[in-house]
Amino acid sequence: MMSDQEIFPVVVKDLTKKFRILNRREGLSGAFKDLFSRDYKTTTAVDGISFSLNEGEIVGFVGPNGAGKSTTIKMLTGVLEPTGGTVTVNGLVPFRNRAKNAKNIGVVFGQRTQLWWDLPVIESFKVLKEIYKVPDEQYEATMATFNELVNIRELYNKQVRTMSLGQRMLCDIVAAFLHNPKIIFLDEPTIGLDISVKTKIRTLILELNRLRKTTIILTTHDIADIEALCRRIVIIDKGRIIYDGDLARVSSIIGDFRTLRLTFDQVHVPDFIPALQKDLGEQFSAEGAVTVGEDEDGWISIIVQEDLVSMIDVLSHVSRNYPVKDIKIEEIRTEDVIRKIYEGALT
Amino acid sequence: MKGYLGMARCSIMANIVYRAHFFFTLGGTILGITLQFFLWKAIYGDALLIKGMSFEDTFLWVALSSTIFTMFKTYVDWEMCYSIIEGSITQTLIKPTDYQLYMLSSRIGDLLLNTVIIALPTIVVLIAGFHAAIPIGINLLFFVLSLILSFLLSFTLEFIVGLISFRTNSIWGISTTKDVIIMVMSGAVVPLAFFPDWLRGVADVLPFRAMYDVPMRILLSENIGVMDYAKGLGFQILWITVLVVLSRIYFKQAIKVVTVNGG
Repeated sequence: MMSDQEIFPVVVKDLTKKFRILNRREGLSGAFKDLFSRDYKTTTAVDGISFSLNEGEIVGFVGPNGAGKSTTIKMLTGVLEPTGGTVTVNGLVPFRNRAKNAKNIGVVFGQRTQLWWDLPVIESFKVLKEIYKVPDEQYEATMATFNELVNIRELYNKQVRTMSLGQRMLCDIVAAFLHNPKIIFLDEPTIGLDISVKTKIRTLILELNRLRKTTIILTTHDIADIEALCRRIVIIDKGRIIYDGDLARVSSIIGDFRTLRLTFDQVHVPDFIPALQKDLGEQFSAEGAVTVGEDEDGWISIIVQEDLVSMIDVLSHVSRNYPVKDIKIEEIRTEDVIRKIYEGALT
Repeated sequence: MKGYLGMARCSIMANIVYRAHFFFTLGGTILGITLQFFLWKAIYGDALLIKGMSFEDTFLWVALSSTIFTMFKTYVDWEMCYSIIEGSITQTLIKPTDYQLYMLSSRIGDLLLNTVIIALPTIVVLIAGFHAAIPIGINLLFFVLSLILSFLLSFTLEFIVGLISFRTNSIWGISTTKDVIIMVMSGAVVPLAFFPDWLRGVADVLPFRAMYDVPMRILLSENIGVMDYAKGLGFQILWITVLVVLSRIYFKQAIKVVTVNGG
């Protein structure tokens, strides 16, 4: 019988990462005390997660900031040493075989670049070709593909630091695919980009996955990325996997719910939110049809379950009875999906 | 190997972008040498020889030492520290390369431009402006060999300091301390001949002497021969081996404490 490591390109079992952080004190005197402090606290960034990936699949890792997505990726790429559990990537233990593992993987950290900041991007491609020992013909063929997909040649002579974020991200993704790795890790590849560039990047990723059968792990907190790219979704919260499976089941939540976000002229009324919740609850009596909450930015958000009550009804009721100042309607956010899962939406 | 050469090529091109940096450093180096000229002139006064060295010998020694010091300055320790603080070290660690060799090849650009834009013009100024007499012969060949070894030594020391900064997350203090220790104990600021005996004894067994004293002696001493040159090079190679082994053992330790903030 073949072991898991032979069947799956990535196998993760009970993976844990703990960080030791100095408890910092406040103020100047606190800073001086910190000089001699041994007061550490341990935080658990990744808390015993297990999963394995099939060859050629695109898996979306979703979760709020600080959920442990990036830390997981850093352990899979050999940058960080796990505190506990096991990881194998293409049969190798990443931290112990960092350089060897690096040959078979490609990585894009959305908030960083592996391109030479001061040089035209073509120079970075050339060096990467040499570092990964890509044969000439393969390099030419690969570049031709990229050129067909996103017209990369136009950017060849552009200095990386003069690129827009979207152009740079395209180049970084191209750079990660250059040596035709078996597995690609994309950490927030669409962060901070506008819709048209996001679409372009999603198309590029999909095409490369189709052409090369590359296994792709994608982390994001943009649900739309996942909907465009993945069939399988892994939802992580506080270092644990709370859902791993078909996107379709999660989509039913994503599709049914939308968020109505509002600001009001008079927000000083005490217990405004419970009052609003009570009023809406009486108005739209189906259980769980509307959920009122307050966001960090001061907006009031009303999550509407649209198969029970129509968004228009809620909107018109609220605007008729309350001094609404501003309105936004948004797709449900990752945080709300997670809350729904905790509340049992998938069971 | 080709990959590291490619890295070096990029590092040269990337450094040329910041050419103003080199021209200002050139100005600073020449100014520093001028100050040393007057300082040592004042120290010598009417004396012909101090500790067996003439004013010309001493001035040439310290002037060349400080030129080499500037030439070797690649700030690899600073670079390593910042890569830990801002987390960009991940970009290096995801490459199928040896971290130490990667850092070395990425500093070649600094070394080369330091040599061409700072060191060579400074030497021209030394010869033309200060009438320095550099003995010319087989010593030049050994001097260049010895200088290459000095650079590797200097790089490895900076690399170790960089690794220490993985733990401390700050570099200014340790890097400056390292610079001062190197400058003094290597005989770069004051030739080792001027040291009191006990300090001379300490300096003799430390690796810093291998960085400046050895190449300078090969270049400037007229009464030593090829055997002495070889002995000097051997001393350098010994220290490089020891420090490289230590730095690689330490790297395995240091990389474990990396937490990689953000992103």
